[in-house]
Amino acid sequence: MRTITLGITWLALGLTACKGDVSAPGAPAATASGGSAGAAGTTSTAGQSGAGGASTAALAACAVESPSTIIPARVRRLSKSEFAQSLAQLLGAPPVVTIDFPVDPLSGGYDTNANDLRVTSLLANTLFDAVPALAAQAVATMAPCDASACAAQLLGDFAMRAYRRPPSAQELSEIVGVYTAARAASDAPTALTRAVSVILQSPDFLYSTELGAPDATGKVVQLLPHELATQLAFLVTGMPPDAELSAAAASGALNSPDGRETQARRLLKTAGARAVWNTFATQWFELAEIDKLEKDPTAFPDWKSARPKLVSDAQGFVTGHVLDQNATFTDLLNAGLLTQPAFLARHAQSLDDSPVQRGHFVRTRMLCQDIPPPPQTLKITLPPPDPTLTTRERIVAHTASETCQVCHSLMNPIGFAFEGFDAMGRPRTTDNGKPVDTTGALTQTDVDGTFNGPVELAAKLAQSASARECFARQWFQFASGMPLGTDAARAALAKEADAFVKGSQSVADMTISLLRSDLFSTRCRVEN
Amino acid sequence: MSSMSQQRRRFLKALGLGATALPFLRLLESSAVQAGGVARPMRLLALCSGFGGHWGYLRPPGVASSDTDVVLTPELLTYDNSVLEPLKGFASQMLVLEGMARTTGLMPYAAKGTGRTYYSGHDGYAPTAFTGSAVSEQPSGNVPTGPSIDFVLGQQLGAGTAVRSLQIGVGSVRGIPDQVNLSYNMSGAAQPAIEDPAAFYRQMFGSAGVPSSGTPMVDDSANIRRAQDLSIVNALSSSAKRLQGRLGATEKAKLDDHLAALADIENRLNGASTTDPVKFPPVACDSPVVPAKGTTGTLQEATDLHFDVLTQAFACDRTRFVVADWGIDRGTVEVLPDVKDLHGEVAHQLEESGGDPANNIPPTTKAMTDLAKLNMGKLQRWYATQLASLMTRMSQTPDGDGTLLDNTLIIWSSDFGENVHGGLNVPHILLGGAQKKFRMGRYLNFAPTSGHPAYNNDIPLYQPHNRLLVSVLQAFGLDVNQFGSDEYMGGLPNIT
Repeated sequence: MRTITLGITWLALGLTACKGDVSAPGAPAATASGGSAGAAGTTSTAGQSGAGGASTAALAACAVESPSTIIPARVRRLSKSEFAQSLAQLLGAPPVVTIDFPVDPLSGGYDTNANDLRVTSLLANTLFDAVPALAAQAVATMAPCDASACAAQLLGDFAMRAYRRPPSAQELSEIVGVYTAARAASDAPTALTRAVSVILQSPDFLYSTELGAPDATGKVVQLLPHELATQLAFLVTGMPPDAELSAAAASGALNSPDGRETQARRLLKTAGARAVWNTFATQWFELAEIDKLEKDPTAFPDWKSARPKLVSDAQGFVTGHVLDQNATFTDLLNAGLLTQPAFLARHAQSLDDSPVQRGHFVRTRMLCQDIPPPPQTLKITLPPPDPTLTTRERIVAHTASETCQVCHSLMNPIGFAFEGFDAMGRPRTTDNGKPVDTTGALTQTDVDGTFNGPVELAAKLAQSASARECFARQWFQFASGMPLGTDAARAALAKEADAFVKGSQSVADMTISLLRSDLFSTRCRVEN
Repeated sequence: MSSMSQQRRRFLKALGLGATALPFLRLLESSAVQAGGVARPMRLLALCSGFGGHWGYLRPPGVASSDTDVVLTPELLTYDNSVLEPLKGFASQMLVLEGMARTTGLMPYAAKGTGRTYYSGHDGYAPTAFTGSAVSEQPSGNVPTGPSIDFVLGQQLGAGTAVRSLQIGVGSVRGIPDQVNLSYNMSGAAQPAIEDPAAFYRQMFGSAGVPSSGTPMVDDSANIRRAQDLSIVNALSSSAKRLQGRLGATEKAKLDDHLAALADIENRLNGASTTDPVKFPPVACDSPVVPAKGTTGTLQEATDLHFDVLTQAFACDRTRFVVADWGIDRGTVEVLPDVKDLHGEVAHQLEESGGDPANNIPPTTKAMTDLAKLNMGKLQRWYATQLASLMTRMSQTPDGDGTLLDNTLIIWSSDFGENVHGGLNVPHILLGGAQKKFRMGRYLNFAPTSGHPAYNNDIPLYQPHNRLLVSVLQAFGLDVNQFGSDEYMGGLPNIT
């Protein structure tokens, strides 16, 4: 007989202090809207520094001029994978030394937050130590050169590739200056290596700029052609611009929505785009830490060996449908998005499945609704394990009280849809010897109603404009490195993703629509 | 470069002092043991372990609630299921603090319909644990407004080391909400972590191009190399300043971080930091041992490998200030094989309940809660066992005229407190010699005797953990009387 445990999320259990809906921190009780129909993203912190500390007032001023200009003018440090891809492209080969790029903080589950990505002391040290070997590797592939003229040429070419734009005369002169100074005491390859060492850790390499023309006036600025190319390339492929994209930028083609669409559609067919979608799927589904999850070794002896395939299956599912089959959100749901074993196993305990965690995921990550944390003073004791009950029966029993139901009614009835899958995501028809009950209900959504099983739940979510809008937000936060912190920003995204939210547009086409829009091509100067 | 003064201004600002207060921020005294002419810095390891803390097997047995100050002895720590028994050999280097709360991490939520506000310390523990800051929920996550102690100490006392301060992730599950991050810079931005012990090792010892702290470079080729490295750093700084000149105030801060990092590299290349208020002679460091494995597998492996590198990094003075999340959301199966669900079976079964007959919910009996408490004690005892081996190793590592343990302060805390849902009565256990800055060897109880007026008396008035953070900063020689939230002033009573 197995030990019975309670599959409860550690996020939230119940709220004795909570009578009725609860709102985000600091929000007035009167406007609390936790989980009201269609009110996805109830973590409203309008007025705070949602855009990385940028002034909300300035962003509002931009919105008057250009409603879809919601991203502040900024610099964005390359992410760990963007840096690795850029380096591989520059070197034309894998790096000869290991670069211990630190683990960047997660924000909303994504490691792309533009405000958090910084050159910390840790990163600067890491790069400073690794770069000499990398620079030597790069120089080894360059034409022989022992004169300042050819050195300037080689370094200028290398800097142009690294900086994703031509270096300025001042920038180049400083780089050549390092070469010249070093050449006085060292041989030519060593001197070149020193100069390349500057380029490989230069701020001009490590940050992509989203600033517009230096002499531009006004609050709303257009990104420069090379900035557009850089953003588009990293966003679609996770890599710096290729030659064709750079040429398109130089011709001015990226200034037009059609020009951007042409390039984006081309790049969506590359391997880089697949890697980007694999990463998005991993972070959206919260699968990154699955290697640290423990499962009961008796019940799931093959858990550890099965993990890598579960993750790659989930990635392949999302990426394949989005990029190969041009799937709509409905297609994704109907094809089995929510019954990916990796998702089901991630949101489960070591032995038992967890309807609470699975329901919590759907409510927060697919409907973008908030479920507040339990009160400080609440003392919750779960009822003891009972070997005669199913997981569902135990969950129902111990969250039956009115106070628990305030929040658990938002999670349990959704999570029950997945009772046909165990803690490793494998199908089952019985739980503890009893037939599983997969009936459930959606409440406080735009598709309220009952369902039986994950197929019917998926069919209902496929009808939900809130779920589609939430998906667009998830992708936008991942891709832009900025959470949508204000109602105005959310409205701007909903407008630009209108066709997707209404259900007629595919996921890939939604990303194209956003790349065509002012969301992508403009920035707001919040302070100068 | 003048970014050290820039850092200093930001430091002051973060402490709420402002630039005019500059003369008042001075080091009270060197945070060093001066014996036989060999000064050694004091190191800090601040840990948060997972799944909260139950006091039943932490508090010495027989201690009455009126006993607020009890001398710890090996005998007192030796009893059935004692969490601290593995550490009994270090009873005189232990300060067990009960009655502490992360009050500043309580976040207000409005309960609709009642017009009341309730508080939760559940989602805000990590941003406040070592910052003492209030925590606000932003679209990007829960964030503090200021720095954590590791970062402050690194800025003030970490010059000349390979990394001024460091966050390591020891086997935790990172996920959503983004609760694990413990280290924050002056503006409250989350700092990156190292999770791979091999990367930790390379970060500490793999610095081929960078001289170790204070190591004089004498031969010509080394001088040439240093001059060339300095010209690289100058070119990088020049680019960073040029880019910074194009940015608004918010974005400028990113380049401030970058420039400060470059200034550190420059100082190290120059062989010594002229701005370092306390200078320590370099340590002759034997070849450190490379970790046997690169990636972390089990929690035990991650712990062993990280502690191994940490000991060597401290001993070789490569870094002095480390915070670590430790086993957050881990431990099921591995540490407690008989427990299938630490959260449900243990953390949430610590109190008896009459059940709910109307809903067929059976009561939770004393026998059941006793078992949960026992299992929680076992988990905590596992952590204590790991710390005992860390301390043993430190006590066998010479450092100046004493041992590394003499010159180290370990803070062992946990994610949550006695109440599983947040920051009340969170265990804080100080370990190590800590250069005799604290009167160790005691159990102190700051049990609340009233409600907290700022919270309608709904929440007991525990000792705010801000005061411990102030005391720690003071122990390192910083002249501060407040840290994080300005709600609480002063250090912790009765510990120095």
